[in-house]
Amino acid sequence: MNAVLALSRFEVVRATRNRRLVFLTVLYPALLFAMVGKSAKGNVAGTNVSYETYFLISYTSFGVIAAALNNNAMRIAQERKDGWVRQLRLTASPSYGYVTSKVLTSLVIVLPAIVVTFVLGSAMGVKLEASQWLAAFLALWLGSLAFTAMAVAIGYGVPQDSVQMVVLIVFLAGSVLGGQFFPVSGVLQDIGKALPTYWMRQIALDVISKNPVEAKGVAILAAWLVGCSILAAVLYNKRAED
Amino acid sequence: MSDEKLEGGTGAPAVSFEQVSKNYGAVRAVRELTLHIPRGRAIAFLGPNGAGKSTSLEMLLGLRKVGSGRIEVFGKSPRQAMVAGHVGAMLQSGGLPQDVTVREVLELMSRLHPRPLAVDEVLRRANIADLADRKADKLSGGQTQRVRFAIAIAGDSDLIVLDEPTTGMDVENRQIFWTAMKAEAARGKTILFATHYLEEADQIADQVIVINKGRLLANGTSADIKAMAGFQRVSFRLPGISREALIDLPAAVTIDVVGDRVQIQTSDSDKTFYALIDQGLRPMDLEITALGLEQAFVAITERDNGDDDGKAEALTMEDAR
Repeated sequence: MNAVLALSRFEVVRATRNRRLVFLTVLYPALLFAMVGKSAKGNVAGTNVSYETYFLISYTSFGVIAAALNNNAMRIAQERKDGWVRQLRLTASPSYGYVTSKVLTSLVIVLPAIVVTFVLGSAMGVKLEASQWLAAFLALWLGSLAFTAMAVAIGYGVPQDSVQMVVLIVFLAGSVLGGQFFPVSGVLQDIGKALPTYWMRQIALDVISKNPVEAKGVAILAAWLVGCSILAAVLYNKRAED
Repeated sequence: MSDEKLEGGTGAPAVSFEQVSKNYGAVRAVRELTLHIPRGRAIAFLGPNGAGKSTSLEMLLGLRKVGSGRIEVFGKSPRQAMVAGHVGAMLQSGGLPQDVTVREVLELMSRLHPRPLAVDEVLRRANIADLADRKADKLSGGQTQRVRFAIAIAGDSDLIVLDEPTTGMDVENRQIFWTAMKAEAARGKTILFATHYLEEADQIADQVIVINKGRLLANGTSADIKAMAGFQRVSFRLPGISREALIDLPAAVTIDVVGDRVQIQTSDSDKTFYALIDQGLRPMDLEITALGLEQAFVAITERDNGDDDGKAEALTMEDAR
């Protein structure tokens, strides 16, 4: 356990120094919101949710996904290629230490993204019960685990030279269909409703807008988390000797 | 080869391979390798590319499962030995993580070993104090290798395994590196290193292990290996000579005839040379040279590759005649 903690601390230090990551996770969503959020007037068609709130949550979820998916997948692929992952196996650290530290670190580095949103949200006049803040927080925080698991699966399962492309495709397609850039409707929304990007954003949005959360959405997000975790575990075990 | 002479030290050997095999599909990477490495020596592990060196080291380090047979490190399984802090290693190639300093990497390593050295001591021993505050991923190739060596010794382990440690080092880095490695050997560490630089092996190793085609080919001192190959090379020019005319020369190990040029590797150049003269031959441009370890290594592996019957036992001094 000490080894996992030491590795996690190491990873968190590295993450906070990674300017690209800090930018994508915190700065970029906040800037995007500052530019777009205020200029969008009125409510999202057919809902009681203002565009402002919508963009606040969707850009935040975008930052969370970038931190959990892009950053982890690229780093894992790179560190496997560099032999760093093997080097760590030449210590007393348990073999799962590396991946465990990535998951724990991920849970830490998405925190600022979520906290910034909530501060902005309450500054905009969103008033919520403590339990609602907590629910919105959990949707984004635990939801990020589905993307971390996806990142581990991609980092171990996709050849290193293709990882960047695969991540970019998954990230952009997932974000467009999930409504991370703009509200989706029609066929796009139908497809989006099968994706974790959609539901992580939608659940947080529903909580913040005081709308009922769809049980189906929670189930789909949870299914992605479980499915990606299993896939990650399988691919990790298969490649553990590489 | 004189195994008694090499079984130094007390207790379990640092490393033992018993009938170890490993296949990748149809490729037999390691075949029934049996090997004992005593404690407290610097051992060079040699073999041509594809001989099974890396696979053997990876199994020994617990990175790969042993196919069949048994590997013990200080009497434990490879993974148990690693967890107990007996083994530190530097793999063939590798980068260092981004966004951290060299010191931070070593601090992490010291937390991942049960009985680590103090980080400052690691920096001093590996001679990289000047690199401590540099970003780990912004070093030259040779500097990176030296930091990776520091990682290998950070756990103060009894066995240090180095796979091609000097690859990518310039002369200066290489000298600093070997000085550091000799100091570790002087502290009584067992050092097992694979290298392509046979001069280094010749200078540093107390014992040389050669594997080829996944099997043990030779295990002895550098001098033993040279003797096995045929100590000297006699070469000369002799118009109209045929290989058949030379085949009965005493002490000759290999005979090559290309046009007028003859090259004979011999375990006794005097005997070979006088027999040549006694046959009434008068060679020209005569040269008699001692083989270095590199030439000896090439000679014995080539001879083994020519052996199509694929006999499994290692060559012995008797084979070298």
